[in-house]
Amino acid sequence: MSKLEIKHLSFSYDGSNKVIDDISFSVEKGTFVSILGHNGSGKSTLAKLIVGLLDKNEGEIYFNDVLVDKKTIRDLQTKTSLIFQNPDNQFIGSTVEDDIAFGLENRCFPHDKMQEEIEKYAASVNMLDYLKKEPIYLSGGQKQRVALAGALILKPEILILDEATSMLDPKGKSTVRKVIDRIHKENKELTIISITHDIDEAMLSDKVLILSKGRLVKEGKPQDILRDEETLVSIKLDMPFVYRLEKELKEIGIDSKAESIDQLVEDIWASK
Amino acid sequence: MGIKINHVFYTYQKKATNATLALNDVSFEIEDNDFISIVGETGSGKSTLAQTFNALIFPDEGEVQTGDYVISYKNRKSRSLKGLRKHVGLVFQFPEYQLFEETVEKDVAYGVKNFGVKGEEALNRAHEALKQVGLDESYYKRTPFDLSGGEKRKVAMAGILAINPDILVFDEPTAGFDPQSSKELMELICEFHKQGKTIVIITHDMDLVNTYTKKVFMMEQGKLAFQGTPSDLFSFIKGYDRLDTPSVIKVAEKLKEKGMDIDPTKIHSNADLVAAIKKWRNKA
Repeated sequence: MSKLEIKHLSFSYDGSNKVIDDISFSVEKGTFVSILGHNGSGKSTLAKLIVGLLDKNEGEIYFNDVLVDKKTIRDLQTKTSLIFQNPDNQFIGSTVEDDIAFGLENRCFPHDKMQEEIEKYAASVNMLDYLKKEPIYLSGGQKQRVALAGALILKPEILILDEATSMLDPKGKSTVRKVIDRIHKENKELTIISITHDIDEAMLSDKVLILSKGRLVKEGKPQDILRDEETLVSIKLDMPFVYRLEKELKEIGIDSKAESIDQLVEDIWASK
Repeated sequence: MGIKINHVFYTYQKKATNATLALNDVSFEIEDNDFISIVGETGSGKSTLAQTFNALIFPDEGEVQTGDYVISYKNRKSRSLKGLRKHVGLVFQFPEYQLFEETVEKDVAYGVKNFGVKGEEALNRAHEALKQVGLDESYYKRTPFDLSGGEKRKVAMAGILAINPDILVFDEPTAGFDPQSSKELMELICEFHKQGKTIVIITHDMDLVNTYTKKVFMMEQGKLAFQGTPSDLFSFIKGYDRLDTPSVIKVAEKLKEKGMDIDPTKIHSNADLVAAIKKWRNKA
């Protein structure tokens, strides 16, 4: 059973330019999928179509093997959480704990159990010490982690991240990235779909989908896909730093298939 | 055209209890046709500083001299600053939030028109600027709101380029761009530099600093904490977890720790690193 199955999805904003052009793929339960693509490739549109923020023109979406239509979309929406790019646009509460509680309150969660639940999820994103803080005292990375806690507290089956780290500074990026990696490892049931430009971030995922001009052009494991320089460059992307350096080292006779900087350094050193 | 920053102070919300000193006695000079970067963690004062360059913010104390224009508290209502913004173009972080016109070409032409350029000529300038950022004719009549995030950014940037300022200040120019667009944008910025423009890049991306700029200034809690070459900066920030060393220098440093005869301060690209490794292997 796949968590999400997309069949022949197409969409156009103006009726002529197809922003999403006959895309089909499936996402298995508990996997972490990255969607990569150049600016304007249709990544964010795809995310909006999946959760019904936009109405598709053609195609079908299956959630837990059930066709998503006007009647069943509610089920998909209540079991999906979205995190957007701009940390300031999704902070609703006046304090961290209010913000995390927002979704729960909407779902009439019992008040006496709420504090315990908030603390549990704040801890899971390393924000337990900030519960009473107002958003103006938080950095972008901290706000995104609060948004993650607010999303996860609703116990979604699918978490969609739409360039969740692209507005953050390097420190913010790495803290959010670590939290996402941990969430993925600790929640075997949670399916994560991440839309990103950050090729190094995509290396953390189980599967990579590459979009170009609204079409799905490649799909596979990051270790395979992200080494395919020709395809990546042809659609305006680039290999991760480690792979790029490996390729250049090959020309001077150093053969390495390392996945990290540390591993690569070992291989270079051993080539003496 | 250069910029002289002279003992500049600035405080946000001066009367509030949580007033913050965003710029604390900052002085340095950017020379004509320089290509420099300003780095620093979030909240260090980088963007505040940039806003003084074209008088969006007036320093509480001190002054900023941009060409013949003096930007100071005393001058804040002076008509002498008229025309300043024709010379200094500021491309904000996430300029895509500032689009408002019906079509892409109208949006880009808006700024030019404000400086007295009329109809046809304004549109021509807009088309030229759109071409520079890599958007072709098919975009002219589209509404900017249906474009993707990266495309919106390009439109907003074209709006500044069309004005053709002498000094271009870019706040995080490549954030949210795909790698190819980032590269093209940086090549375009290099081209402007060659034409004689002064370029200031505010960024967290140390790869940009290392590859493109010769001089770098680092802000920390409203003060200028460092000025010098990128390689000196990377030695200076070692141990800071707030700013990231470029990956290629990280590899060089790790190899040096292991005992390789390599100078990380001389490494500006993968090619430099590979050449150094080759030399080391030939010696061994």
